[in-house]
Amino acid sequence: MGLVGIIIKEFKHIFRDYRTLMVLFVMPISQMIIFGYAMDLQIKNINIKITDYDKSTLSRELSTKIDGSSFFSITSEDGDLNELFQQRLLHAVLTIPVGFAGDLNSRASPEVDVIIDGSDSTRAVIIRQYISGIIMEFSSELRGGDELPINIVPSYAYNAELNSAFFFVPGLTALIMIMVSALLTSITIAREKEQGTFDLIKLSPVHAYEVILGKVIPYLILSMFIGIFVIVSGVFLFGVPIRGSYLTLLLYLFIYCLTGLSFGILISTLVSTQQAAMLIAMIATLLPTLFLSGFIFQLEAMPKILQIISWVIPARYFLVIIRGLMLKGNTQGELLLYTSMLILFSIVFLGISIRRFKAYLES
Amino acid sequence: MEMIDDAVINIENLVKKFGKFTAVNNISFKVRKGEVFGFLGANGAGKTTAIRMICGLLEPTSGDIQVSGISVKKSPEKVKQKIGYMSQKFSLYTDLSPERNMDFFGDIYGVAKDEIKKKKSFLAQQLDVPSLKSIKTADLPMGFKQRLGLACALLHDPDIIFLDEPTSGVDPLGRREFWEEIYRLSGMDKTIMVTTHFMDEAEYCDTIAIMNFGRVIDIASPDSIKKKYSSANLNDAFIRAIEMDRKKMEDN
Ligand SMILES: Nc1ncnc2c1ncn2[C@@H]1O[C@H](COP(=O)(O)OP(=O)(O)OP(=O)(O)O)[C@@H](O)[C@H]1O
Ligand SMILES: [Mg+2]
Repeated sequence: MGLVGIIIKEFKHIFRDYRTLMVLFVMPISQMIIFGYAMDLQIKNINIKITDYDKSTLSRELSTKIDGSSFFSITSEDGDLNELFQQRLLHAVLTIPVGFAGDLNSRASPEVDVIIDGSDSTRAVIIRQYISGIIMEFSSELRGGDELPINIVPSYAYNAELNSAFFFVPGLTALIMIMVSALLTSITIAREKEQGTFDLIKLSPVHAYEVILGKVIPYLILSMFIGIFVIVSGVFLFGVPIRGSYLTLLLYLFIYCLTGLSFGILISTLVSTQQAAMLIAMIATLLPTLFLSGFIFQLEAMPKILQIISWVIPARYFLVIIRGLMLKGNTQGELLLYTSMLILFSIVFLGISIRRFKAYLES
Repeated sequence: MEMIDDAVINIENLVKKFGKFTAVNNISFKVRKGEVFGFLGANGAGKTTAIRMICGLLEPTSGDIQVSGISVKKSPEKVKQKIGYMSQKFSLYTDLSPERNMDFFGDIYGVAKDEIKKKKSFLAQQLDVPSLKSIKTADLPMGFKQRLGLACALLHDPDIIFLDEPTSGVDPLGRREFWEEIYRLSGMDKTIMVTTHFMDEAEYCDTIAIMNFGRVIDIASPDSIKKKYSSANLNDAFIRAIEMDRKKMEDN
């Protein structure tokens, strides 16, 4: 009794409200398509200027390679860098220093210098990622693929295929799943408070843990379906690979959903209206995940204080997990630390929620 | 004189403040076992606030509440088992069927399956509908909704039933049927505390308490109230009681 009853009732709610159910599946896909389309536009036609101080065969080959890619067109615009950036005539400047070829031939690590227009930070990240990709490809062709000796920050090293989907599919999956799962549980409990049915639950002898598990379990199953749907669409629409184990991916997705749902439960203990629940769940998941998870902005490049804040953003850990499993082929063990963090979050969120509900239900 | 052991609800100096506003202002009364106790009062008089405190849904600012001799403050869990509550705002799952609502509330109260089944068929029979399954609760007429709400509040067979304006929005026939049900329950020795705006309904109560601005200004049987305010009907008596209270407050 109790727990099973709540679970059955919750499923009835879910299936009665097929419109919401449809939105839950259609929304992530449309987000992905819009995001993908927008990114695709941004990535074409990057104007790059190459200042080649080395003037060697190797440095010229690198220039040709960049010119040959569909993303870049080389310009020879001259003048004040800031103005050129502002007028959008130029997006990046690559400087190849004297001694580039020499270093490369002597197996030392030469450095190239890249200045990127940072006014649009999303785009800047992508540009940087693409330049890195081309340079790495260049060097690995040179070395037969064994080493990457040119010094550039290898932050997107695994995205050598130069496919923007590799960048946004894992990130969007992390974003959508934390948002959807936090919304699901926070809204459903807030709705009961609004309707007054929570008073009747409060008057009944059910335990706080039964109420919470009764809400978490159905939505855990639902969000797993949504998560699988999102990942499968990423794979089929955008050709993103899954290089790690499917089973590990499912397991870790499960844990991430649990974290989001627990967070939603915690929110529901703080609010009494659906609107407040929705607002808090959106703001508390969307903004930190966009800015502090490493999805769009690199964490390493951030001020120390923001880096420390990012430790409490669940998406930060899941992003490492899902990138690792989709793009790098990481094993379960390699990602254990990150998963443990998600489990820890879930325990903390659920623990606080149970305590708060207990005080509420048993007063 | 009321006998102490006869009182199933015993309220002493109950106060509820929302910030600086006092919604319930130091009320005290007793309700006897098997009694139909009516709460009368204008909008905002504090009826709902008082009932919610007695049920344990709202914490009093001060005062003491005993239900069946148990302190609500000390053992809310024990009190919960003994009471049924129907809130002023209709609060069942309107997206689910009546049957599903009864299943759910029966289940969380730990009522046995066949007991729930019995109560479902009893309600279907009372309402003269073939099934409670194939309709959405939202689509029911108000009278049926309230009967369903009552049935849900009665699933665990409570001794004391709180009904907060159970007949507002219900048509006259539905109201009469609802009161017949209240009488049936009262005949089963259940204690019923009911709030209402309808004076004809107040006539059916054994005792009525008139509330005004958070205070209980009078408490007696409908007949004694009519006599006291020398009115032919309860409506006039109620208005006089409120007017006299206002004068008294102005004098102070
Ligand atoms: N949570 C709250 N916070 C602040 N004020 C409240 C709260 N709940 C009720 N009140 C106020 O307390 C007063 C009494 O409200 P209550 O709902 O108890 O009245 P009522 O007698 O049930 O009225 P009605 O006949 O309209 O149902 C009202 O003025 C109301 O605005
Ligand atoms: Mg009221």
